[in-house]
Amino acid sequence: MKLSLRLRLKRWHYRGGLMTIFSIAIFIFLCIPLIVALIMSVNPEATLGYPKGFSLKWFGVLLNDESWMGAYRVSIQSAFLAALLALVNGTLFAFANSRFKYRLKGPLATLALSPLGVPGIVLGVGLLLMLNPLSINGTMSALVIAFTVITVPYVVRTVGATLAVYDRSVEEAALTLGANEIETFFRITLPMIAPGLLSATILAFVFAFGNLQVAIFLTGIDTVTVPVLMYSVLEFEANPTIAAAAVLNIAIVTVALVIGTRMVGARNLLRF
Amino acid sequence: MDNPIADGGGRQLSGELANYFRGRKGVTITALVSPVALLLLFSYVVPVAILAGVSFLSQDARGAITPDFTLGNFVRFFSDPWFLFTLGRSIRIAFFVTLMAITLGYVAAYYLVFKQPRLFEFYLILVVAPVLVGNVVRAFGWQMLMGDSGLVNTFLWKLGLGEHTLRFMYTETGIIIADASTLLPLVILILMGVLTRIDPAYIEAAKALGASGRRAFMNVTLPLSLSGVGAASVICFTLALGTFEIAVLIGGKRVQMIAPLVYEQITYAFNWTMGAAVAMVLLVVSVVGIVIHDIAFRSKK
Repeated sequence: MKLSLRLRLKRWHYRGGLMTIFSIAIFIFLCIPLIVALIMSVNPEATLGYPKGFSLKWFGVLLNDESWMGAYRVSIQSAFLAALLALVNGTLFAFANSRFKYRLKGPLATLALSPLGVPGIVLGVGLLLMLNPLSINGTMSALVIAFTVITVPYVVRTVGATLAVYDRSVEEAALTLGANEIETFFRITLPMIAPGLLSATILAFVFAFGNLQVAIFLTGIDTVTVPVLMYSVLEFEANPTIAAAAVLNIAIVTVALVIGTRMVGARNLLRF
Repeated sequence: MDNPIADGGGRQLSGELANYFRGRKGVTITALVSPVALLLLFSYVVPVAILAGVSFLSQDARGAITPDFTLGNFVRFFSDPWFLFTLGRSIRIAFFVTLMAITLGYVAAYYLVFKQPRLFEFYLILVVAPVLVGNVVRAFGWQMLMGDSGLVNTFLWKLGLGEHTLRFMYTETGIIIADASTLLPLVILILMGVLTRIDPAYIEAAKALGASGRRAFMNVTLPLSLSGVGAASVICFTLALGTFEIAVLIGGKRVQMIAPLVYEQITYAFNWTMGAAVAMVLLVVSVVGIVIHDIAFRSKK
């Protein structure tokens, strides 16, 4: 009996049982702050804490609060515009880099990815110092410019990776059959790399939407973004509305992820 | 039909455009590359250059930036015990965050790549979703968990272990745990990329030659993945050094880190030149990390 238990344990271990449990614990460790936000948001009381009942009233408060809704409008508009700008420009850039050789190609490609390695605070202060004398700080344009810079690397990387594994024979066929290069780009290349473009747009939107470190230096009274508002609420007067807002953010990201995985699959969306 | 360019006049226009660009490769490349190049120049290179410039200036009594070159901000930074202590603490925290994230990340990445779990895509979403939701929400969640009357301590209290209140808020331990959780997804994704590129034939060969699973891992898989572990460590360390949300919401004023120090100098002290100097220190330490890794990686090759 003792032996068979040992054998069973050994077989379980051989199949990676311990590693499975450990890994699942890690995945929970990653998601636990989101689970906590979900739990906190249904608290019927006016204090942040473990809920003693169930109520959705804080979602009602959130949806009727003009400053929160204003922040969602600002965040969604600026992140959407930035994602669009990053997508168009980043795709042209990645396309040029995958097809042509030119002198500044190496340095430019490195430069385009390097914002990923620069602390957000540094870029935020730099943009503040530049935009403040031009007095466009605190406007929507300032946010859109900043968000475009921080999201362009994701587009360049994702679209670049898509183009790197892309089979050009269909393009050559189109050219041989008499289509010109621009027609070929719009009718063959773009539809074929569409999954990559979709992933890039979703990533760009989501990262612009959630950015605090750059946005915190560039928001004005009329252009407070959701993370900036959350941050100031947490610093000064935390209440359960913020848990409801956190859940709304989780919902927005979940919808983006579901659309993305339905259309291109989780592996393609996240490049695995 | 779905494409305006394919119809009538559009087709003629695209043909003419294509003819124009066909003989002019330089023009084509410039047209494709310049939007991103200009964007990076004017809203990334120039701001960082201005930041570097301002860090060598000072402010007059009314707070206006004066155009006199000075090393004063850096002298102050490296002679002020509080600034130095903050830098040292940030480096220490970043080190432990990296250690924790790499160890846990390696296990999770190994599991996802080599054990091929049935729920692979679901797990992948669990890994990525927290990143996409953003650091503020995650810092908020950790704050709720870690408080003296937060969920962890409430749970312990309910188990009858109430007298041992675990202190996470305003401690380095709290920051390290929350920050490791924040940076883990990125480490897992990088290490998955590294492990995916290892040819399974090597591992099979080692096993066929009689190596145990552990031996095959120690002598084949681990050495082959070490350079990737190095890259992931450097990226993780750099990001941990720039920790802002977690540092402010878990560490508060009592456990200051360097990124919140920049924000404080600019927003509360209105000391723009000092803030720029602290930001430069942060940038330089990050870049030094990347360069050291680059040199180490190249010399191995």
